[in-house]
Parts: sequence; structure tokens; C-alpha cells
Amino acid sequence: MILDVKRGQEERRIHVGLNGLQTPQWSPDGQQLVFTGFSNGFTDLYTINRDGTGLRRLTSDKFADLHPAWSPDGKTIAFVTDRGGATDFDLLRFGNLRIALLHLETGAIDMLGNMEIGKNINPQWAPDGRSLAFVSDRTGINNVFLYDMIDGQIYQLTNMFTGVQGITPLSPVLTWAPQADRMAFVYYEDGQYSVYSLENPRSLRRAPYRGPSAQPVVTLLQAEARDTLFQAPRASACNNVTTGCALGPR
Amino acid sequence: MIGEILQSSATSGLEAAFKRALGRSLEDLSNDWRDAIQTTFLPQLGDHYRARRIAQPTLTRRRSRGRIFLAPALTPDGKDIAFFGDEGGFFVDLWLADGETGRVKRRLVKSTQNKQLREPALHQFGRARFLQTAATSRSPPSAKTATTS
Repeated sequence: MILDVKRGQEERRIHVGLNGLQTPQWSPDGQQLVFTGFSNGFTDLYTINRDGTGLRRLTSDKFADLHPAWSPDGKTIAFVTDRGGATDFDLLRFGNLRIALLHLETGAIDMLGNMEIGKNINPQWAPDGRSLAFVSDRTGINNVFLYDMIDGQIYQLTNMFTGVQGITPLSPVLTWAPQADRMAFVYYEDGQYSVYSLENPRSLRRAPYRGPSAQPVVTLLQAEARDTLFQAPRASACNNVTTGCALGPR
Repeated sequence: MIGEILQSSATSGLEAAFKRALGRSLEDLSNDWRDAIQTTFLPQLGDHYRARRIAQPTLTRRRSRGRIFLAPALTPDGKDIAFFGDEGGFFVDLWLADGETGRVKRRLVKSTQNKQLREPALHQFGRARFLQTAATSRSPPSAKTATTS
């Protein structure tokens, strides 16, 4: 459905012969839409003209192809996919979600580097097209990161407590207005989903991201369990219990 | 150990069962647990902050009607923002608000009045997709919004 917001009316309703479609995004000239289409349970990328003609399938594979975003120069689609990693359909193994670029002229797909860890979703182009903001939980908390096309490095823009997160793990949560250089994101706080916004988000850029500074939480929990939870109390517990320790887990 | 606790709590009660199995009272155990959690996690939170340190609240319960504000899409000039919200009620609709102040301007699509969404078979499916998607056009002069329904 295309709404003309200024006139307050529905401009057009486009019916696409697919099982469903998600996350439409406009081309820079406003003449086309790119979206994720569902066909037989698989997601692929499609474009269509704003008048509903010219449906074009960009990908045709079993991989996830999600959250497309059109570059400011109109030549490239950034999107989210599980290709390029540990995905193996024969073993039903699925790798982490990464950001990739699809070049419209050739159909070639480039996987961006530094995407081996965590979930990486919701790419949004910088106004100049030289970097991409995206949301990643590679630290354990969903935050906004920046991929720099020039140096290929990742920069962590935000480091918030509770995370840039919608209701589902793949809900779109990030938007970047090109003319205003203004970014807005969903922030989960006090049990509610709010939207915050900021000007010039690239001013938050610091040194390149080099992995977590603190130990991963899982490792800490294992150490904690080893040190306190089971060993120490267990010895005294055995002395106290008349029935012995046979019932407890080893 | 869990087996011990379960078994003896059936005969002598919860408090005594924990005391017997762990040698600690329930209150001591709770305090130990809290200490362990804080010792483990507080140092990790040192560099983290709330969103308001780096950004302005735009759509929040205090500023706009509703409890949830999802899938935001700014217009190219940043002056307006489309989003899915509940207006404090049960249904999630598509709304338009001022992109800077968050003042809600109007409802763009009412989910209960969308013909497709009224079909019972499509209802759940349609709503789920409806929740996820909004886009604003970059093309002047009029702001266009595309949704899937």
C-alpha cells in the first residue's frame, strides 16, 4: 500500500504474486521499491516500480535475504543474509546474520568484512553513501555500529545498557534521514519500546571496534558456577544430609 | 542437589530443605546470589549508558500517546517520522509524528479498517507483517509511505 501522506489518501495498492512481503524501502529517486519477498518459505530480494509494474527478482536462493536498503547513488542494495558463514543446508546449520551488498548492474554480492560475530541487521546508508549504520549484538547487547566503506573497519557508535531492539529479533529498529543527517532508533527501556533520535550520528565514531573489552558473559557465568555454586556448598551439604549425596547431580 | 531439596522440602518444608542441602538460610542464599550477580555484572556496565546521554527522546510514553513505538521511518528531511504504535490501546496502527518533537500528527492506517486485515484467515499473519514494516519515500514534494498489509 502506498499512501500519499501530504494529501492524506491512498495512492495505490500493489498486489505481488508472492506469499508475502516485508520491509519495503524506496529507491533514492522514489520511483521504485525494494523489499523482501517470501516464496515457498524462502526469502529473496525484489524490486518493483511504484506503479506496480516491473517486478524484478534480485536473488534466488535458499539463504535469508532481509532488510534491504537502497544506496544514495541508486546502484547498490545493502541487505542482511546468512550466506558467507557457517550456513550449510545439508546439515541444516545456519550461520550468523551478516551485512552484504548487492550491485544492481551486475547482480554480484559482496559480503562485508568483520561480520563473523553476532547478529548484524538493519543496514542504513549514511547520506554520502560512504558508510553503513547497522544494529549488532556482537557485544551481547544490541547497539548501533558503523561500517566504513573506505577502510573496511567497524565502529561502535552507541554502547547503551538495554539495547536497540524491537519486539522480535529481526524487527526494523533503525532509520537515517539523508537530508537531515538525523538518525532514529528503537530503544528498549523500562519495559517499553521508545524511539530516540540524534543529529550527525557519525560524530559518535571513535577508534575501530576490536572485539569485546570485557570477558563474554557466558565465560564469566561458567567460572562463577565452578567457583561457588556447586563445589563449596556441596561438600558441607553432603555432611549434613543423612540420605547422602546420591540424589544430587554430579 | 536439586533432588535433595525437592525431596526434603516435601517432608520438612522449603526453608529447612534449603538449610539442610546448602547449609544456608534462604535469606543468606538470596544475599549471596545478589552479591554474585553484582560482582559479576556491575564492572561490565561501567562503559554503558542510557540512550538519553547521546540522543533525544522522540517517541516515548511521556511525550506521545502509547506504550510501544516501533519500526520508525524518518522522512528524508527528518521532519516527520512514521511508526507503528498502540496509542495505549490494543491495536497497533501506523502513525505519523513530528520527527523532532515526537508530537503525533495523525493516524495513517488503522489496522482494524484494513480490508485484508479483516479477513480472519489473514488477520494474524497480516498483523505480524504489518508490525514490521514502514518506509518513507525520499522523493519530494509529497511524503509517501509504503506499508505491507
